[in-house]
Amino acid sequence: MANIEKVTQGALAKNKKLNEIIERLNPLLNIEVNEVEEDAPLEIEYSDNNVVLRVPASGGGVPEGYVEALRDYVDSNNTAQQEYYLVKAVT
Amino acid sequence: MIRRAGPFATTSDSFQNLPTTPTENIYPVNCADDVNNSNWPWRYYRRDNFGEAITIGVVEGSGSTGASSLSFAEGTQIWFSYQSAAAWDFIFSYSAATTGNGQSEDVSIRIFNPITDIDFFANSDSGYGVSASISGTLETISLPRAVVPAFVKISFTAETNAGADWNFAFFDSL
Repeated sequence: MANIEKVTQGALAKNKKLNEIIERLNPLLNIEVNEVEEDAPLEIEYSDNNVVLRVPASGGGVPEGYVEALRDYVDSNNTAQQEYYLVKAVT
Repeated sequence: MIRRAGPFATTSDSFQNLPTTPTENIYPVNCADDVNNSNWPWRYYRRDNFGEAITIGVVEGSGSTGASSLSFAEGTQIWFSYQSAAAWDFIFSYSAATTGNGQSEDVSIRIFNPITDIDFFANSDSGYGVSASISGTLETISLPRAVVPAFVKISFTAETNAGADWNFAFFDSL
């Protein structure tokens, strides 16, 4: 989305607060999201041009307390299939 | 979706492990006619002459040669169980001719549920002084849906002094 142009003419141009708001809004129109390493911190970098979010990768591991289990099954087409699912003991 | 039973099963326990020695009433469990999954091999029991030791066979893919085709000379039995989400076609081909010499001769094939004794398929021929013979190519029988293992037995007989030339193929032509 294109940046909002500052008002330089007419009665609105006399309102300096309006252009300050436009300056603050324009970086939000250029948000950039980057995935960073799993152990890197979550960061938000705000500049005059854009906003950059650096989000740590989730890692996709098995949640604590769960283990993967493999299941064989017959699907609706009478074909043998396998899938993993997560199980956790009831304590 | 049906959870896999087996890999072997009895009529009262669908979750038996591979027996140390093949045991008549502990059937291998198959996934309908899916013979292409290495994680779930399509297995059957076989016993020749109605008295020899039981062996385990594996059907690997379909084809007119290799593990899906069998040849034998005497009476033989094959049995297995299966699970299926829907009715499916068990396709097979067979041929048999007695090799006697003037004796009363008889060959027959019977596919049935050994628990209910209900036939799915049967064919036979007999004669005196002439060779008895039967054959079928890509015979198809519909086996019913089975959430828990359903049991199938195939009986091949040859009533003759000299036996017979039997050929049988799973899921394909001879």
